[in-house]
Amino acid sequence: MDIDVTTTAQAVIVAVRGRLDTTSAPVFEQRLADVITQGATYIVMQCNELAYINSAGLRSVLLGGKKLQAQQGRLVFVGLQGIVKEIFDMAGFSTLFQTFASEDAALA
Amino acid sequence: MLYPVLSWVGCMTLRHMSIKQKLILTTMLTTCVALLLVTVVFVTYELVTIRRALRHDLVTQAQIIGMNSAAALVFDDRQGATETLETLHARQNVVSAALYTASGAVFATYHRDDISQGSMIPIPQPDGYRFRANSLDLFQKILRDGEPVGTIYLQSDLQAMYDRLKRYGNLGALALLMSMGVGFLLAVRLQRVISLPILHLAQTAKDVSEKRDYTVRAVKYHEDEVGLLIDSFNEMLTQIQERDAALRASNQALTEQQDLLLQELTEAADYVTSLLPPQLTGAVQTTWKFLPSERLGGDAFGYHWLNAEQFAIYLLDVCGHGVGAALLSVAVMDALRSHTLPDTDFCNPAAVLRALNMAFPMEEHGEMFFTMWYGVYNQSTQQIVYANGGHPPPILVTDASPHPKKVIQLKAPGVVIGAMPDLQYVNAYCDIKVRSKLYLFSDGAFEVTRTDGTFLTFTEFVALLARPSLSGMADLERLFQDVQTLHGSQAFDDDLSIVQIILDPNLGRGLC
Repeated sequence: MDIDVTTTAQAVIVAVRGRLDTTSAPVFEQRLADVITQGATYIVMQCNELAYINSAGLRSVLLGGKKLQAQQGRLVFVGLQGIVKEIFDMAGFSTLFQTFASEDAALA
Repeated sequence: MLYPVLSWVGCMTLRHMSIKQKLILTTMLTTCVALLLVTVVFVTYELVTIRRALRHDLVTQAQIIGMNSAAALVFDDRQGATETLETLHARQNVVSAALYTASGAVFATYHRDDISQGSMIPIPQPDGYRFRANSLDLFQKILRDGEPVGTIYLQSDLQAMYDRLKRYGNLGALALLMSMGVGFLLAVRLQRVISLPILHLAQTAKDVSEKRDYTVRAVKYHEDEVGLLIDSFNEMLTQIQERDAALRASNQALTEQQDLLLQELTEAADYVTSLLPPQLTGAVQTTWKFLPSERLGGDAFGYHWLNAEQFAIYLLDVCGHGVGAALLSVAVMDALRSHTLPDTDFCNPAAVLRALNMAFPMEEHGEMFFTMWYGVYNQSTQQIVYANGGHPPPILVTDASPHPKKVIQLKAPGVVIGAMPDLQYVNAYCDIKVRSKLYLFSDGAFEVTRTDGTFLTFTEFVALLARPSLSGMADLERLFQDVQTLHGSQAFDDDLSIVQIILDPNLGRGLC
């Protein structure tokens, strides 16, 4: 898994590539926590190249989202597709988090 | 251009030489250069000395001839002058000689026997000498009573000088060869003082590297810089040996701990398996397959009669792996089996999920949530009511020939349980009009990688599930086999649970 964090005027974009699974989830969780600690309030998780997510990955996403919510922030998702979208929808996360088709839409 | 090339070749050659060869070469080169320098100085000194002696000798000779021929010149006695010059036969180095009158005319000449008698005699010149390549020429005035009466010319060859220089050259070459020979023998012998400890150190380092044996030590030969290097090397080996031993001990302890953990995981998996329900026959027939992952996931499932007509069915999957996930799944199972959720109608799936969401908030349970599908089959109404908490929807496959087979996903909206407080769940319904097979499974059943690295999708898994079994093979056996074939292994990253429940509305009530 690779994580790229880009800060723009409107949001912090966290692009995740590869597998967000039991092995990589702790790393992602820590990175997301760091971004939140640094003061991000609107985080866009870019999932265009996210190939797979399992329950451990969903847990790390949920923990990050809750932490951000506690600081009046918001975590949204962009580019969910394929098996990742299937799992995301199945777990009911589509009702917990806002999703966008494109980064522009998320930043608008 | 040539110098850099030669320098590079020299460096490359030196780079591949052993220390022993380098030491010998250095000694030999030093010896040769020193000897050559001494030889050059010596020969130069000899050359200067010989030339001076030769000149002095020729001047003396000219003075003698001049004195003896002065009278002949005064009295124009050519015969006497010639005879005086003939005395030069005794001096083999004199090639030619001549006497000139005061006016500069040639008065008498002399040529050595091996020289042509008609050889050219130079015109007289002022007093002085000149070394040429092969001769020394001398002109000197002849005085009588202080008055010049003529000039004498003598030409001497330099054979004697060259012979002597040649002898010195040969002697020098011989000395150089002998010195090189002796120097080589001494260098071969003496270089060992330096090279032996270094070679021994190099061999010891090689042995340590190849055999990973950190107990060996290099022998210290001398109290010099190499000795210091060997001391440092041995000290380094001691440190490595101690760290290696510590690392081995640590690895051993880790292995033992890992074995213990694995044993505990196995025991935990066995315990979770022991809590799983027996397979039923009768009005509701059940069978299941449960394959815990190596790290123990959080899968658990169960079913039981709530009353004479209602049959509860559930399967849950705690996020993450390990004993923590297993403990939470056991706690949830216990709550469901012993009906300990407060004020909860266990015949109402949405209410059960709401109650579980309140009872197991992730903040109070190791930041873990779980997915769950909970359904109740009513044998009288021939209907399943169910609710879903973020779990993959079970699949209902109707199985009543000659009716066409139907594959229905028992979907219902709902978020994973424990994620947020006050989550709402809704009941959904499905009528069971014909004999049907209900399949409940965890995500580990379909979130598997194929041998080509791609993932099996949920839709593809459903298609596999609905595929008719070969004769004689149970549905779940065939499904497991299909998934394992696609995965290319019998080991999975996550728990793999599949429950099959056969619901037959035609069978009478109370046959359970």
